[in-house]
Amino acid sequence: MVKKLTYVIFVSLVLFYTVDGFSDVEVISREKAIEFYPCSRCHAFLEKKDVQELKKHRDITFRHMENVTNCFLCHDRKNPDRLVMLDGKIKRYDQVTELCAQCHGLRFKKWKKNMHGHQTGGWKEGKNKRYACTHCHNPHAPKIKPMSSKPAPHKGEHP
Amino acid sequence: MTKSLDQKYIEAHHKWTEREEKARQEKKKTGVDRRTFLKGMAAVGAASAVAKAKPAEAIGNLTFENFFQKHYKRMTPEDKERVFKRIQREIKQEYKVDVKVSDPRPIPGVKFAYALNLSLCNGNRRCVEACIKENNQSRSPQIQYIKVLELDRGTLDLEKSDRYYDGEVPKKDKFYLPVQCNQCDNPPCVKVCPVTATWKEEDGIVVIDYDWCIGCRYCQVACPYEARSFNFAPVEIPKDEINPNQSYLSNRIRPKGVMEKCTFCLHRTREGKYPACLEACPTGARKFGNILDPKSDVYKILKEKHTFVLKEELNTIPQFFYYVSD
Repeated sequence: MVKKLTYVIFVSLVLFYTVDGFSDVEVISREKAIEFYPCSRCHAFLEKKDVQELKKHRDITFRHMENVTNCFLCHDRKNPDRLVMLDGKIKRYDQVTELCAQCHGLRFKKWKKNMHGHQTGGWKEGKNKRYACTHCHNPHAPKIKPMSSKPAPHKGEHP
Repeated sequence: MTKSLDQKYIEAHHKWTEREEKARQEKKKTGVDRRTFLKGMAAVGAASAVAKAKPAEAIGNLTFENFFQKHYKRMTPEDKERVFKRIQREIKQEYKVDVKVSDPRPIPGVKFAYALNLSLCNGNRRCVEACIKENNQSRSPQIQYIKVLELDRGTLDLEKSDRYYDGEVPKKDKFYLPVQCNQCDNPPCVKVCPVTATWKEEDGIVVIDYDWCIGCRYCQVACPYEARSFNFAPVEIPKDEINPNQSYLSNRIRPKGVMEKCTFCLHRTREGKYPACLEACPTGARKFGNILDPKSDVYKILKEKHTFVLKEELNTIPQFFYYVSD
């Protein structure tokens, strides 16, 4: 019985990772990088009225698509720890690349080929790790802002 | 009557032979000729200078062990072990830090190449900072392997570039071109070295044996990419910023008076990791890999994109490729 159960769990896990298409690429976990994850820590016991009073998430300025004011286009209405695709499928925050790929298909293809995005790990096969979209791009305002450059070399000292 | 040129030469020759004859006779009389006497004087002077000078820095100090050290390629494994221990001891003495000096060798069937996407690079110099920290480069006077050049759009005249730009990047109507060692397949710096202290390894990386280098700086002049720098002063690094993972041929703390250059972080890349500059780049402009592997990034880029190299006309055959792609 136990053997059967472990087998079923193993197969389902394998299927879960292969069907998503990430069996060849290791994506760095996004859930660990979010400061207040899991979101249900607060949202589970807060009522809708409280949420409005707390005035959290008001600092989010949405500059992604025009005329979109509905948070639940991407966030799941029932489970705050999950995201929702356009066709109603539920995704975890770690699978956020698929959510972005709904519109940014070409970019996603490039990212999968390792031709887009910040990379880490190693050049050898199997050592390469990939950052998800939202590690670098703020999903609510995805255009990357100009950054400050690191200090210039000293004049004269530098050959 | 003026003398002809031939006569002048003959007279000069006679004078010279007379002088030689005199010197020979003098030597017979005293037993010491002028040349050996001067040599002796120089030796005495040098000895007194050494005695007067302050105790030298621990790194690169001329000891018996250091003086009779073999060239890196002629070292046996036991020799290497001894040398690495000596280097660790010296660094401990000078900087009070425990380090590990290793010696990763090239992986068979691997040749490294670099590709850089110019349309993504925004000149934020994160790569420069990471490189300095990884390779234990001197903070003062500064030594930097990567030079990020700011150029006007539509031009590629390196003479008119600005490497001292500052502030917020990317600036309007500018693009950024990072330049570092190109690890040429036909390296002019290797050809000019009079003591073969620098050579090209099997995986394409040009390295320097810092203990064999005499500091003549010929290679600095020969390199068309300004990739080589000279240690004018002992390396100055804050104690807590020293990278303890060091390698003999790449990032160990250099002695004063030797050349140094980018080695594609061979202590990292030969173990399968990425170079430090690539990991630091937030834009993803840098691509690194094995050019002989058809699955690698650089292979794909060279196959699919239009790439170019700097100063192609010099026939140095660089292994650092630039390309443009969104």
